[in-house]
Amino acid sequence: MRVLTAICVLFPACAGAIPAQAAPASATAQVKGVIKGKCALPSAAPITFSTVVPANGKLDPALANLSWTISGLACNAGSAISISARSLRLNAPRGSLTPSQSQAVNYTATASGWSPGAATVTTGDTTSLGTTALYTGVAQSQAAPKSGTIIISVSNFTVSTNKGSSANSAKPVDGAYSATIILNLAPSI
Amino acid sequence: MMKKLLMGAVALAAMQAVPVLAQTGQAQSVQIDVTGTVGSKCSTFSLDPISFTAISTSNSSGFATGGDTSSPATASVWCNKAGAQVSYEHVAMKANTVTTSNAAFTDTVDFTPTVKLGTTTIASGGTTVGIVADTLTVSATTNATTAIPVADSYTGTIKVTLTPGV
Repeated sequence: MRVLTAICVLFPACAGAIPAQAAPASATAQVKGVIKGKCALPSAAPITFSTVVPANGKLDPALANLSWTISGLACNAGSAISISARSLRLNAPRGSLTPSQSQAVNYTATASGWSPGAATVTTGDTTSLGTTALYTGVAQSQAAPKSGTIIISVSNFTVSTNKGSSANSAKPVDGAYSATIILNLAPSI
Repeated sequence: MMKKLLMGAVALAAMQAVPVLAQTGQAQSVQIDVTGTVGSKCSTFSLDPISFTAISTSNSSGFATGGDTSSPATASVWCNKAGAQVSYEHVAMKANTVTTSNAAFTDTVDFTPTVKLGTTTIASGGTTVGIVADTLTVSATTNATTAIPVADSYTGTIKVTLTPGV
């Protein structure tokens, strides 16, 4: 080959005798994908808390100190958090009560640690019989993707009573009560 | 040696000096050799974008689960000499607008390209394909992540190179 090159230097007309190798050919494919907004919750199960009202009709004061820590939460986009709750109600509700009795207790549930302002809801039963209605508070927003822990606490227990002077001092009937709290965390995009 | 060669050259010169007279009615033919060279080459080509319709993420951890398959891009290509190679390289997908410094999150989703020429699977470092004319197919499969990918649209690249045989 070296000899051939030397000859072709002397005789330019024979340059075509060396096969030409073209430059490599390249093309680039763009690869596109989308990650949708999503929140990961370790458990979708609602929180249920229970208490037993004794014969004297007094609520356990320890209820006001109950809290639950939910860890392992993550949203890959901005998110909205809200909290929903049902009143604390007799497990086997009665069909009728005397004016001095009630079987529903309203309370406030608070979810803190996620949004700048805590998300809260206060159950709104307005009768002594109570309801199974699910009350949902105003959503709070977290602008950035976030992972972390939310603490849910309950407070402000108030016996739900019928309107009227004789019912204002109604006490919960004795028995087992339970309530449900649901945390809602949703991506904002 | 040199002397003989010179004498020969003189003799040849003398012969050529004798005029050749064409004889009427006698056919004359001259053969001309036509030579040419075809260089080693591979075709130019282009590839359309490929896309993942959805990149799956875990409901519990939020991590990309991997295993999502993209749409394919195809191109008709050829190389005309033994030794021609196809190779490829890729750049992982990156979030187009969102950046994050939170270690729980990532703005990168990597993928594994699949490049085939006909039915031959190409190795990223290069596979010799030789003289060939076939369909190049490029696709990709997402890899799992170990952090939560931020919600955004993502873009990466796969560059395929055809190197002509030497």
